[in-house]
Amino acid sequence: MNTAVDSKRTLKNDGLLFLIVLLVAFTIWIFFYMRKEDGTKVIIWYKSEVYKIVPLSKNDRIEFDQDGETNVIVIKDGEVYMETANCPDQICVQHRHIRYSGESIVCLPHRLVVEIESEDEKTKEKEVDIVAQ
Amino acid sequence: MKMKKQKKKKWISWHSREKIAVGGLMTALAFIFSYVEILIPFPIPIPGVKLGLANLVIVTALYVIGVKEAVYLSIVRICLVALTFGNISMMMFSLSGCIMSLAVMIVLKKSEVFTISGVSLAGGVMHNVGQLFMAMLVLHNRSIMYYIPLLLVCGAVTGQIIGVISKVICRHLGYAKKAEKCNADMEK
Repeated sequence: MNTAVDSKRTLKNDGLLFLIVLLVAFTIWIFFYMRKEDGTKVIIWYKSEVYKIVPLSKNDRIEFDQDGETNVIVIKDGEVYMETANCPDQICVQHRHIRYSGESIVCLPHRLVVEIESEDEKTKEKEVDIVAQ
Repeated sequence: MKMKKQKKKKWISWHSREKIAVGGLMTALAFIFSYVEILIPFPIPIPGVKLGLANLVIVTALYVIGVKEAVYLSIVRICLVALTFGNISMMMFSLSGCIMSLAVMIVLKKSEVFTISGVSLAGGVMHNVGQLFMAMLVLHNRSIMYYIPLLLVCGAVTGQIIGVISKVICRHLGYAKKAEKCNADMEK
């Protein structure tokens, strides 16, 4: 009567599923970790278009304002973080500071993405483009 | 083997009027759970990670009432929650996650390879993956991909918690139904 499909086999499968998910997550994480390198520039995307590109090495304070949607992005000692934002969920403000290439802070309500990239990655991509042509 | 299958189907049998009443009850419950979740912030400061209390109702409904009802229930719940507490973009994210997780949960439930907690775990993981895909579509930015490992683990943990709770709920609903039937038979 109770949980009709509960047998030892299915319970074991449950545990296996959990382990598989953990394993997959770990492999992807390792993959990203291996590719981790120091970034050189900060790219700010607004509605899938590049809004601004600034170097990561210089301390800076960028005030973003678009139709009353404000975000203040601070670059300090090679780290980037969102100081304030007037978005409803404040996830971007609570996000930890980012410093490596590929990391990003996303403010979904404002469609704003702050991304760190390294110079090498960009040139690599260009090379690939040239080869593709 | 055939006997066994029939037994499984008769786990809890509802009349259609009962289905309507329980469906309405569960919709209200899912709605309230979504609200409660907004009120109580989840103690882990990872963006976008929630316990998904409302999914407790969806998973339970999937097993107790039926597949079709669970689908209706989650769509109604998402529309209600988005219109009262959120906005259209929130609805898009919820819908994509919900469709992904429901599809996987229905397939896994049919396959009978996993118990409720396993199905719920897969649902939780796919919910996060669906939302991430939606975010990638909206932002046209692949850097969000870096969240995938974290979201996979969080989805698995929250899904497992929800699954274990709903397993208990399902069992007790089964007992309640049985007792009710006994009482009805006694009155006859």
